[in-house]
Amino acid sequence: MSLEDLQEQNILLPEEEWGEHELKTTIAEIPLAILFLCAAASWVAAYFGNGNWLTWVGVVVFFLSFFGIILLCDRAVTKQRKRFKKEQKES
Amino acid sequence: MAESPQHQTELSRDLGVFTITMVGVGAMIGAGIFVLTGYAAGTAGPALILAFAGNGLVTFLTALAYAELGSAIPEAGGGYLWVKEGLPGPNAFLAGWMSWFAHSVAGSLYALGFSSYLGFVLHEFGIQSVAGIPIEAAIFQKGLAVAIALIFIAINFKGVSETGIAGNIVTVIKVIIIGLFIASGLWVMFNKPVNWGHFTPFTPKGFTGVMSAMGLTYIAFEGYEIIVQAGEEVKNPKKNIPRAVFWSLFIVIPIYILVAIVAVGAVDTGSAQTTWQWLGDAGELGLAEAARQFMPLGTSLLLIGGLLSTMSALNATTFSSTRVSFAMGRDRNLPDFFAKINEITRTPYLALIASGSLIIFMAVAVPIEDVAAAADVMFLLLFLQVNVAIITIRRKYGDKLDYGFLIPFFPFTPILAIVLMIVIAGYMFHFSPLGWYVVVGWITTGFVIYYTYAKKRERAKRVSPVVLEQSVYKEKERFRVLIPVANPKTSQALIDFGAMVAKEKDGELILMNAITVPQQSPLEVGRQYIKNARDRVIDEALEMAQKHDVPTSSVIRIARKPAKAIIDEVEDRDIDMVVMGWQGKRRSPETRLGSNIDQVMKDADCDIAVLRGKEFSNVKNIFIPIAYPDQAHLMLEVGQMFEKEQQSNIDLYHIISPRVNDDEEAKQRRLNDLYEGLADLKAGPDSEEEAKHAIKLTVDTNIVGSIVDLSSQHDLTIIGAAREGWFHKLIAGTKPEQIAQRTDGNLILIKNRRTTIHSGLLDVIEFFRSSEPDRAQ
Repeated sequence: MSLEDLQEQNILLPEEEWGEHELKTTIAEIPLAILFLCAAASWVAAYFGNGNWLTWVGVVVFFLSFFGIILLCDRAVTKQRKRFKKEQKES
Repeated sequence: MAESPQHQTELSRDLGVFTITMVGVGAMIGAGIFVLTGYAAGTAGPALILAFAGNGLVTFLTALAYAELGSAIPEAGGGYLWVKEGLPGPNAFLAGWMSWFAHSVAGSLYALGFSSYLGFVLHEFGIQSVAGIPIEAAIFQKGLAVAIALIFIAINFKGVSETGIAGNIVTVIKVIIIGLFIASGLWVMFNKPVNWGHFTPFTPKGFTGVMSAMGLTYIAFEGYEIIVQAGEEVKNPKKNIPRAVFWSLFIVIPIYILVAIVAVGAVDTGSAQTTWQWLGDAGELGLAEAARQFMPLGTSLLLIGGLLSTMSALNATTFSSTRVSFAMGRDRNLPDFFAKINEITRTPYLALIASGSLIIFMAVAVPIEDVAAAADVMFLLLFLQVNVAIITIRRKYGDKLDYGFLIPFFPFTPILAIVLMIVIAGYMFHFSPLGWYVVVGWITTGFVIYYTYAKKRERAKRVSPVVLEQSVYKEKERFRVLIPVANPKTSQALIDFGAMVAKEKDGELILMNAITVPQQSPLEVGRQYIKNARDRVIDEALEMAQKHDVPTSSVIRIARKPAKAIIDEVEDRDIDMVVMGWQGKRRSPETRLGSNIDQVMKDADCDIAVLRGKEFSNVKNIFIPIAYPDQAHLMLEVGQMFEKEQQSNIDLYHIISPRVNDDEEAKQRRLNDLYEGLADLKAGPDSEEEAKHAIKLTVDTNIVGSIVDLSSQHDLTIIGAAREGWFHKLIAGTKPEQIAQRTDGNLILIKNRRTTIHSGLLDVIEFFRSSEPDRAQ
């Protein structure tokens, strides 16, 4: 599949908009990194908890971290649409 | 249902974020969790919880890629389409080939799961045998799997879609049953605190057990793919596809973890056996056996859930494996019969028969856990390809796409996903070597089919058409020299040179004219210029060639670019050398010698000679600066042709920089190496000692300047094309191109045919290095 094929299928932006939109993620990267590390750390804690209280703390923290990650991703989708429309207007 | 090209319609966008999230949830909470939980518990122990949580994180990383690409390229092809777009060479074929296998083998797994669940139902009703065959016998289970597979092949032949109201009802029933299972289990656990002891020891089989269980259950997490595959039916896909991917994972992953907790925690084995061992022994019926203990009507409900899940999953995988092989047939990657559609049912019946056969074969020939392992490894490798593709797609098309979501920490996130998936797939070897052997066998077969069959057919689809051929010689072994001709004023020198080479090699000359048609017009437009091309270009060129008494044929092709026509001709007729002319100027600063010459130099699999100058008929002195023996061989061969025909004198030089800092011995070694590379040339110097003297060794700080000076003292300079690495080219340009730009006299730039491996490697490096999107040729 080529550039022309994608253009034909209306997948690409109009040519005048090429290069006009930022490619940086709209997700809050630092909180995301912290939450992902929390989820990974809780996984490790659950592993070493050997089925005792630390395991269950790990499971709960994992749930919370995962929920936080999903929330951040969801917000990033909304922000991305807003930014795109703003860039479109400016260009 | 996918429709034939003649009946393509646009799908209506009526799925909102809630509906599409539920589609993803329904796809994930399915047969995987019902069939595999028992095996996974037996593999990881109570740490099954961690296997599910870990898979959640790994899946999330790939889900980010799906969210980004699904929002930017919301086409039904999904992963296959992206890999096709984002990866070079056989990857697109392999993605389809692997996807076909993964979905078919998943179908085998669900057929076997169904047969176990139905056997369990019969057992519950007190039926011990059917037609004299005990229901616990392997032949009964395999036979039942074949029967249910055949039923769904028949259903798919009639053209039943995998979605629709029935599918949604099944999803709701499955979720309710799993919900009841979790609620009942938690109630038991909180009322019998002793059950919390079931979780110690937590990792009886260590880290390996956890990783193996992650690999084994990975298939239960891949359902979010269907959200993207339904992308053409989603309202506001830029926003809703990524959101649905995330929310479906948020619903499913906690459910899986809770299922793991209650399966291990709420069961009472009534013996010294641990619950995870008990679940492992129950295998695909682990969840149903667990439900019997703590859930009202548990066995019945779980059996209903299991039967419904395996049936709907078998239907969906039969459907998708058929559509993948159908699409591959349509793309000419598989034989045409895969794309044949039944006129009455409008289903791809031969693709269905092939996929159904694969499903049945795997179900019969391989044990269920190895079937699951093979499907898991294949899905891991498929998603791994998607994670590589996202990096190249962002580089090539990033600034041209409308993204609904962008991956954070790009490209480290997809790289992390790739690494984790490789690790999990690696651990699967520990669980099932047979599963891995099957996967490796399938991929190897895919490579063989691609290089011996699919590649040629794929190429035939996009080759520039030949519209006129005259007296083409059919001798296979003849040396062929191709000369693209366009301007009669500049053709004479090319034809003289080409004829000299052809005569020396007892070969033939092929004169080709390419009619170019701009991108916005169909290629057929070019046909109106055939007569003009024949009368004004080809006939005149044939006349010029006549005097050389060399077998000559001619051909006219229609293409978007002359380079495409030349490359196609090289491949079609197994051309040995292309002779091209160069005006001596670059038209664009982005090209090295010119866009057509650059592309032919890069992609044509043959020797290439690029000539600059109008007069090559009176060459007295030839200057050949040599650097590498393999390259020098062809340069000297060409020089010797002039020597033979025009009694020219050849000066061979090897110019090195003082920075090389060779001692005398090393310098001598260099000369020896160069000599050895040229030793087989018949007309070469007689003795080794003489040969070493024939190559003049010069040391100069300015190599290019030195070559330019020597070039001005000769009638003709023959130089080799650049062979420095791409990084050097990027920062400094290449010496041959600098020389070509700075000299005025006659010049021949020579490039050797690359070996297949060298050529393939360079193509891959070029593909990943380039940020230029692929363009239609």
